[in-house]
Amino acid sequence: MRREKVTTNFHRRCDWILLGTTVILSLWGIFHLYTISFPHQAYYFIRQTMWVGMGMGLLFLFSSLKPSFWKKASYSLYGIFSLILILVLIIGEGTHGAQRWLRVGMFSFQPSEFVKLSLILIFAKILASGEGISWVKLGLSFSLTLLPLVLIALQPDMGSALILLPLWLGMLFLAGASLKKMAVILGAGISLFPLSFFLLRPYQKMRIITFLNPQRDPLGAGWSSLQSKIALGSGRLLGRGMGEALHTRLKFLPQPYTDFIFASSGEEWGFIGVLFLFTLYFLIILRGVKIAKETGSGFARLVSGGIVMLLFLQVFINLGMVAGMMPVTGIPLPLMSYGGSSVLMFLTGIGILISIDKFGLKY
Amino acid sequence: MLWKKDIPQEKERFEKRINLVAAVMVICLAILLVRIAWLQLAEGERYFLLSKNSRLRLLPLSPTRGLIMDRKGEKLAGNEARFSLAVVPSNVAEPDQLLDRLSKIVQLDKEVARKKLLSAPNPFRPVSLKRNLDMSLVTFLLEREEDFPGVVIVTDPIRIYPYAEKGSHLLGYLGEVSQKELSLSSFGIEMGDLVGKMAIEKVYNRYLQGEKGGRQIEVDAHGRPLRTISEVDPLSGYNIYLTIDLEIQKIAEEELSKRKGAVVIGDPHTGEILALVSHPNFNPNLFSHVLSRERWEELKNNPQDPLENRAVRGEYPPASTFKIIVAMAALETHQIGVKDTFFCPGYYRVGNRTFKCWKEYGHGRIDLKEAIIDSCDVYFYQLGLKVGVKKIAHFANLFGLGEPTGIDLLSEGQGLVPSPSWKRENRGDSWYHGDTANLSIGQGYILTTPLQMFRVISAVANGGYLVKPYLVKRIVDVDGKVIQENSGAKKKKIPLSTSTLKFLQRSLAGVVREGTGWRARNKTVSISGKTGTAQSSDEERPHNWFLSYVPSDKPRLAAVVLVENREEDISIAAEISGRIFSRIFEKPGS
Repeated sequence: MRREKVTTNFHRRCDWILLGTTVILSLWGIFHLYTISFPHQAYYFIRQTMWVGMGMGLLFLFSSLKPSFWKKASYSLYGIFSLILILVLIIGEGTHGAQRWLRVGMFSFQPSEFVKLSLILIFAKILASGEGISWVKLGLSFSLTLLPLVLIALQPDMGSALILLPLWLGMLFLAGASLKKMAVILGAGISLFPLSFFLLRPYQKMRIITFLNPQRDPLGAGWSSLQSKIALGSGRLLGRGMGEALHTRLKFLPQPYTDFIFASSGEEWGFIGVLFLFTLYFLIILRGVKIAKETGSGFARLVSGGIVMLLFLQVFINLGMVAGMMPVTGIPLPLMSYGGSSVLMFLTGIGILISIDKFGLKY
Repeated sequence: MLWKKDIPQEKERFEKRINLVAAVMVICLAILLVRIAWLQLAEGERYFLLSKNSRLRLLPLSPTRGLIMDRKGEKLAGNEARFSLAVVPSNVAEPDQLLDRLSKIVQLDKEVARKKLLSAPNPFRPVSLKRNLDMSLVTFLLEREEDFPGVVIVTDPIRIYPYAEKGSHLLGYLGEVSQKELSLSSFGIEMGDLVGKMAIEKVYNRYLQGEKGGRQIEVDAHGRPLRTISEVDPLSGYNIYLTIDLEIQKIAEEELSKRKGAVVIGDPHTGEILALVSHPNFNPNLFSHVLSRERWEELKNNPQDPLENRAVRGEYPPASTFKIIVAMAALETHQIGVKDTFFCPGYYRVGNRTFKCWKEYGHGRIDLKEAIIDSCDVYFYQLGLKVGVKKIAHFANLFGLGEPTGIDLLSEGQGLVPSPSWKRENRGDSWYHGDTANLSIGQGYILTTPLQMFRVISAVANGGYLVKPYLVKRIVDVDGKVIQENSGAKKKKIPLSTSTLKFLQRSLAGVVREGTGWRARNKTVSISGKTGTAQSSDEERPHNWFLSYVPSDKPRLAAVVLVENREEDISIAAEISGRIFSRIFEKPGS
C-alpha cells in the first residue's frame, strides 16, 4: 500500500491507465464496426458511437461519485431492475423468439445487463457486513441471485442467466467464505447439473451437443462455431487487412457485430490484432485487481473484485465461444460488441472502479 | 457515513484470495490466447484456404443494380440478362493456346484477356472475357464444350439505357472497375466488377450497386462442386428517381437538335433540374458490352468531345447575360438611379482603346431599362466603370459565379470571376479600365458554366434566392422504402432589395417583348429572359446564350440555352428557348 494513501484521505488523481485502456478499447470497437460495415450501412457504427458517447458520460459522472452512494442505493437498484425484468416478460420486445428488450422512446434496453451490476453491489453489501460468511448470508445472497436468474432464463436468455452463478460463487470466495462451504456448494451444483438438462430448450440442447462435436452437422447448429473458427483462423498472423474480411463481409460469419465481433476482428487484423486486444483486456483486469487490493473498505473491495470478475467472465465466455472452445451462448464481448446496454453497463462499472481508486480511504 | 474499520487479517485474506482469482483469470486468458494462436498461426493457412478456395468456396452472387428513373418513374437505366463468355482460370492448362483459338471465333483483345486470366484473385471463379454474346455463338460454344476446356457460358446482367443518347451526360455509363478505383477501395468491389464511370452512375454508385451475396460450396480435390453449403442472397441496389422529366428532356434535346451546346431547365424555386442536355452526346449502351479499345479511343479523341458535359463543365464568357449582374450591382450600390441615362454613339473610348457597341450607329441617349432591353454595350461600359471591378466581382460571387454549384455530379467547371488581384497573380499584369469595360459586358477573362447561369436566372425569378441545383429526387430500396429524399431546401438569400429585383424582372420581360430576345416570343407562354453573344476568339463564330424563365408573372421554370459557335446569324438560343417552352406549356396538365 502506498504511504500517501494512509496519510492523506484526499482525492488522488484518477487511474489514467485504466481510463485510457477503456477509451482505446471502446474506440477500437467503434472503428472495427465501421470497417466491417458498408459505408451506407453505417447503422451499427453510428448507434455504437452514440452509446459509447453516453457511456463515457456515465463513466465520468460515476467516477466522481463516492462509492458509498452505491452502498446506499444497492437494494433500490436491485429492486428496480428486478421489477423491470418482470416487465420485460410481460411487455418486452425480442428477436429470434426471445423477449429481452424493453423499449423506452427510440431506445431498446436489455435490463439483464444492468441486473449484473446491481447484483454485484448487493452481494458486496451483504457479504461485507458483519463478521465472516454465515449460512444465512449465503442463503440470502443465493436467493437474491435466483430471482433474476429465473426471470432472465424465462426470456429465455440462458447465457446471461447462467453467468450470474459463477459471479455469485466468485464473490463468495473473495468475501472469504470458508473452503468447506465452497466445496459443499460446488458439490451440490455438480450433482444438480444433469437435472438442468431437462429444463433447457431444444435449441439450447442442440448448441451444447454441437459444441461437443461441431463436425456432426456443419449445415445446422455447428455452423456458427465452424464459421467463427474459419473467420478467426483465416486472419493468420497479419490479418486480411482493413475492410478485407471476406468471410465476415459475405456474411458467412453470423452476427459479426455482436457475439462474433472478435472473430471478424481476428480476420481483419490477424494475431497481431488479437494480441493488441488481449493486452488491453489484461491491463483492465490487472488495474481492477490492483484497485481492489488497495482500497480500504470491505464493500468497495468486493465491488471492484466483482466488476473485474464479471468483465473477465464475459471476455472468457465470449472468446471461448469465438475460438470454438465453448458453446454458443450469446454473451457479448465487454466494451467491443455492438449493443447499448452492455456498453453502458461496463462503462458504468469502470466509472465505479475509478471512483473507488480516486476516493481511496475517504468514504 | 463511516464504515466498519478495516480488520488487517481480513484484508490479508482478501488479498490472498484476489491474487488467486487473478492468477486463475490470467491463466484462463492465456489458455485462450494459446488456442487462438493455434487457430491463426498453426491452423491459419488451413482456415484461410477453407475460407478462400480449398474445400469450401465462396462464389459471390452479383446483386441487381438499382434502376434510374425520371421523376415520373419512367425507366432511364435498367438491366437485362445476357450471356457472357467466361473462363475458369484453374481449368486452363495453356492460356495462350486457348485465347488464340477463342480469338478466331469471337472478337477479343488477347493481351487484356490474358492479363485478366493471370491476375484473377480466385482461380476457381469464372472470369468474364466477352459480354453480350450472340445466341448463335452461345450454341456454337456449348456444342463444342470439349474443345474449349475451361470455357463456360455464364449469364451476366448488362446495363440498358432505353433512350440511348438521351440524357447520356447525366446518367453516365458503366465500366469495369479500374486498378485505381480498386485501390481507393469502396467496400465490396472486386476486380471485374462493373461500376459507374460518370455522372449519376458514378456519384451514386454505392447506392446503385447493391450488396453481393455469396454461395458457399464444397468442392472435391479437382474443384468440382459437391454441394452447396449455404447461400446468402445478394441485396439489390437502391432505385433512384431523378428530378429529370423525360418529356421535357426529350423536347430540349430535340430542339437543340444537332447543334453543339447545352440546355438546362429547372425549377427556379428549388433548384430541381428537369432537363440537362449536352450535345454532342454518346450512346451509353456501347459501354455495356466490353468496349473495344478502338471504339473507346474514338470516343475519347473525337474533336467534338461527346463525353464532355457542356452544361456542367463547359466554361464560356457569359457575354451580355452578365449585364443582369452589373445592373444589380449598380442599383444595389446606388451608383445609378433607374432614370439616369448614358449616351451611346455606337462606340466608347477607354484610354486609347475604342470599344464598340453591337449596334454600329448607337442607341442614342437611353436609361438602364432600355439598355437591358436592347443590350446596349456602350451603356454598360460606362455603368461598369462607374461601379468598379470590385463591386461587380462581389455581386458575381453573390450569385454563385466562380464556384461550383454543388450539383450532385462530379467534376464541375467552376468558371472564373476575375479581379485585379487575380490578374496580378495569374497574368502578371495590372488591371486596366479596359478590363473593367470588357467585364461589364461579360467578356474578357470571365467564364461561367450554363449551370451557374441557371442559378443566376433562377435567383432573378425566385426573388433573390441562390438555389443549389440537384438531380436526385429520391432514393428508394426494392420495397419502395425511401432511403433518402431531396427537397431542395438549401437555398441562400442574396441581399437584394425588392425594388431592384422587380426592376430587373420588368426589364427581362421587356427583353422578350420588345428587345433582343424577341425570337423567344410565342403564343403559349410569356417569357422573360436575357440574350448574350459571346466572342470566344476572332476566328471562331460566337457562342449564343439565352437565360429565361416562364411565365413572366409567376415563374415556374427557368432555363439556360447555350449554342456553341452558332451557325445561324440570328439569336438562335432565344428561338430554341421559345420553342421548348411553348411545347412544354402546350401539353395539357403540364
